[in-house]
Amino acid sequence: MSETNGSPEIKKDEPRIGVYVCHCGTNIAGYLDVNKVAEGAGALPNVVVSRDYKYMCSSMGQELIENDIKEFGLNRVVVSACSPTLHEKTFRAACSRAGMNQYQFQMANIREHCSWVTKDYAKATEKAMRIVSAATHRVARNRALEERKVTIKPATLVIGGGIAGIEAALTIANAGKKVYLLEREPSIGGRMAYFDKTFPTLDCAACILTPKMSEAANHPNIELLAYCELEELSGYLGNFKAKIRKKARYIDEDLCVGCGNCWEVCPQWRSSEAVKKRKAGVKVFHHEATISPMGSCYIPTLQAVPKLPVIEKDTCIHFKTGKCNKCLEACTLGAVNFDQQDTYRDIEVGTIIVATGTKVFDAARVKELGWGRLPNVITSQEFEILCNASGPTGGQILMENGEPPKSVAILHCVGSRDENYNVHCSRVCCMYSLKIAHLVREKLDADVFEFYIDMRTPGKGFEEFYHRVMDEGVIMIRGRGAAVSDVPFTPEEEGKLMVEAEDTLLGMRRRVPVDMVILAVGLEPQEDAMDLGRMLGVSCGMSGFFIERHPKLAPAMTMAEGIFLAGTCQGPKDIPDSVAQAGAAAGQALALMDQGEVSVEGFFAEVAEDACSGCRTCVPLCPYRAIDFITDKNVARVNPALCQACGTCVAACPSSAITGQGYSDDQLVAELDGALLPLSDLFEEPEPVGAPGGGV
Amino acid sequence: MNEGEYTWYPGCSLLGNAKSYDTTTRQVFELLGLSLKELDDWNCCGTAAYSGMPLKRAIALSGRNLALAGNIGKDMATACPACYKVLLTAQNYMSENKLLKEEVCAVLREAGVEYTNGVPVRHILDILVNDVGEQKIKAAVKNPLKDLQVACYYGCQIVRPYALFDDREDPQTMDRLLKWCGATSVPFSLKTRCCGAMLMSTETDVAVELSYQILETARRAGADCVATACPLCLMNLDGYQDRMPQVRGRMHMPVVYFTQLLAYAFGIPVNKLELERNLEPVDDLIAKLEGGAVNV
Ligand code: SF4
Ligand code: SF4
Repeated sequence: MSETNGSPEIKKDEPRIGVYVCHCGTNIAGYLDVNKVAEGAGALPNVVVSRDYKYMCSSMGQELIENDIKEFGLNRVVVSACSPTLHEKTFRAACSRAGMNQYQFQMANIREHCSWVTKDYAKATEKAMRIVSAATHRVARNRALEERKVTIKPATLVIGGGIAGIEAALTIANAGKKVYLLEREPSIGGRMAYFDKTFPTLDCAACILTPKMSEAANHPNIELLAYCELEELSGYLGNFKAKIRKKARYIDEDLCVGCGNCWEVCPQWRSSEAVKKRKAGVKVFHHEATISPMGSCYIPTLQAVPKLPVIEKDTCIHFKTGKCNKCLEACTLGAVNFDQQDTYRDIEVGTIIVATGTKVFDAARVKELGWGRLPNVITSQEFEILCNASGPTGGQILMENGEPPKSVAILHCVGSRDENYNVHCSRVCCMYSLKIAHLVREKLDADVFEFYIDMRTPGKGFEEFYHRVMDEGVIMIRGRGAAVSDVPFTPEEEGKLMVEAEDTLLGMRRRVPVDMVILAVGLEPQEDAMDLGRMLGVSCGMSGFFIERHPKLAPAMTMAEGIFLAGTCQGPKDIPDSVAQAGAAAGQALALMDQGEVSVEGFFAEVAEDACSGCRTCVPLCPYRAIDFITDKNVARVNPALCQACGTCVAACPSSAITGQGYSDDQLVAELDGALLPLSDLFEEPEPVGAPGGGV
Repeated sequence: MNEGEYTWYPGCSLLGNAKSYDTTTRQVFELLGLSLKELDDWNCCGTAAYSGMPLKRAIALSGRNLALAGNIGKDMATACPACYKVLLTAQNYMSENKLLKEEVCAVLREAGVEYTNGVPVRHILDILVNDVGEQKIKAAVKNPLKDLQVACYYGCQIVRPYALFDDREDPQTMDRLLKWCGATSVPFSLKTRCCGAMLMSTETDVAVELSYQILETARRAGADCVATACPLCLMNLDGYQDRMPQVRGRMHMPVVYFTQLLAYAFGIPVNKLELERNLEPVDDLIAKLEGGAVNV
């Protein structure tokens, strides 16, 4: 090492590489020989300095790189540590600070790809060496690139109008940016609109939600797209283009005042006996709740926003026979319009927030619990409606025969924590079950039994609420409800529902006869989450929920730039957590939009014009329409501002005239060469003791 | 596979307490024009008891049957759910565990049997619904089971752990077969609930309770009889009705093999169905069947 301080004499483009092997505490150093890897790297071509260090991402680690760049005149750096998704940006920034071009930095992942997955110490060391060698060979060919700027449209598309979507929309709108709030149901409000009370504070769900719903609807910066579907999405960060389908309501929005004349007369109420008995109160319910007596012409709730009914084509008599027309006749304003068609429009936004929520578990799948088969076995969702003051019974808890139950069992974990259905914990069910228990005790003089596996109450005020409910005399049985039977063993059991469970505290089987059984159904990803994910470029995890960029550090971001997550579409959570995440997503979207433009990766495709044959193969293939054809020169040219570096054209060009910057053939071939180097080249043979000379 | 030809593995129960199952299965197959040739020199499958033995021994026992049937090359049909399950399990172990397979093959070789690749093990419900099918069954019906309300009870082993031809929680094959014969299958939620099985001899109270649930559910659903595919289920459900709770009076529920009903529908006279082997009187059922036949 002749070059030391001051100004080393180096040829300008000669690669001078520094290699840094991170211990990551014991995450890497505990599973492979970091010393040996660093030493081996020192012997690779063009490597000027190689070191190992405990925590490369710490400020000391970063300074180490910066100092070396200055001291040794490094123009290439390899950090061999964790996944690039975690710290590539960190190290690139360090390199930039020291005056190096950040694209001449290369990350070598020896943690996720090596130490965490390779058990054998020697093998892991060898593999790490190969990974480092590959990166070192590649980085020598990394060219200096420039970041590009893209402008960000100051508008957001919020997909999903539940509490998370509403919160995100309001935050952004209040900051002065335009928001499109898209909801596929006829009304915004989501699942929360059907709750009676919320835990643990027991405040009325409608009272806290409905003001937000109307605020969103009336906000000058929010455009409500209710009863609309996202059909297509194109574009990229800052410049998304969405095709929206507005579904025909068969109601003229400009004429309708939401008076209710039409839905009152629709003869299509689902006509089970139970429904008829419960019809006394308000008639209108959500279609997911089976006790809902819903007509073909209906409004989801009386607090619906927008307050417009919708006619369901599939069940409406008019669309089948051309007759009926009761609603048409009942509407004095002439707002019913059977000829309405779906309409389409395009909108352009800079950022997207996904808040599509969940669906509840279908209790019919657990046949042994009897939902849909045994009367008075209902889901928690149905209980919410039953208990709701604007529900069919006006908030009275009644059985199908119109009598109040004298005993109620609540079964936790239905469809959750169960290998047959969902392995995940739905997180909200323990708490809402306690809330249900409280509501039953409050309204009725009934015995309440809770069958639980574990009581999970990790939240502010949650454990306290659990104690309160226990004090109210609710009987807790630690054992999963295994079956509900209507077959009595004794005359006393006649007419009852028997809940069977193994009481794991008493170590015995229990059989508890009750009048009503409430199934605490879990949360599942929406059925079409995968389809939406494909459209957005956001993937779903094992349990089907959308994957965040980082489980701890970026829970509201996705891998797709400019697209954020809020609420239960990312995983089960309660209202406070959904709202908090919505705020985070909105804040991050705002931060992007406020900048007006952001820099994006310097990678893009480039056409070598002398090699281009003018075949035009690439032009229609580019999904971002980034390729122009220059007719007078008869060549294709990529517009770097639009190119997203997807590589489609690179692979398609029959003349191999297109290069993906940062991913050129020579870089990839060098990477392979590095990985496949003979072992003896990677590790120097140990020097015999007493031999002259020696390594660095 | 030769179409319409099967190797018959009756298993021990069908030679003893479930003789009527054997007789009526053979009758049904014959009337449908299927050949059912009993496996020569078969041995006990080992059932649940022997599964507790060291793996090699248990698998070798069933492996011998699989080897013998494999050499014939026709699908092996069985009616007893325990045999079905145990043979399938052995087959699975043999195909998934190479070491075990070698050991078992060596054992069998010593006994003069060569194990090649085993043989498809089929339950007769599977064969009747999927190989024979609706058209041929309907064509064979002479005495439609008109007005007969049946609760179809499959027991736990036909669909567990291997649900190869039917749903684990809500199987349908027996329901479909009997419907094709003109019967009504009542809505019945305990189709695959355990009857108590071997517990009947050691923990009788527990088992009686389980069997009672099944029968009481069938009774409340309006069933005239329970049809089953399992000898042990039939024994438990049929034999202990006098010891069951009497919330709605004493239980009198005829429990029959589904093949007995099929055979009857295909024209076998009632006195050839061996219904007299049942412990609980079946007079009501016979009256119902014969009454139905007269009305046709
Ligand atoms: S026309 Fe259709 S929506 Fe209108 S009242 Fe009749 S069934 Fe209901
Ligand atoms: S890499 Fe090619 S196909 Fe992809 S965006 Fe850029 S120009 Fe279009």
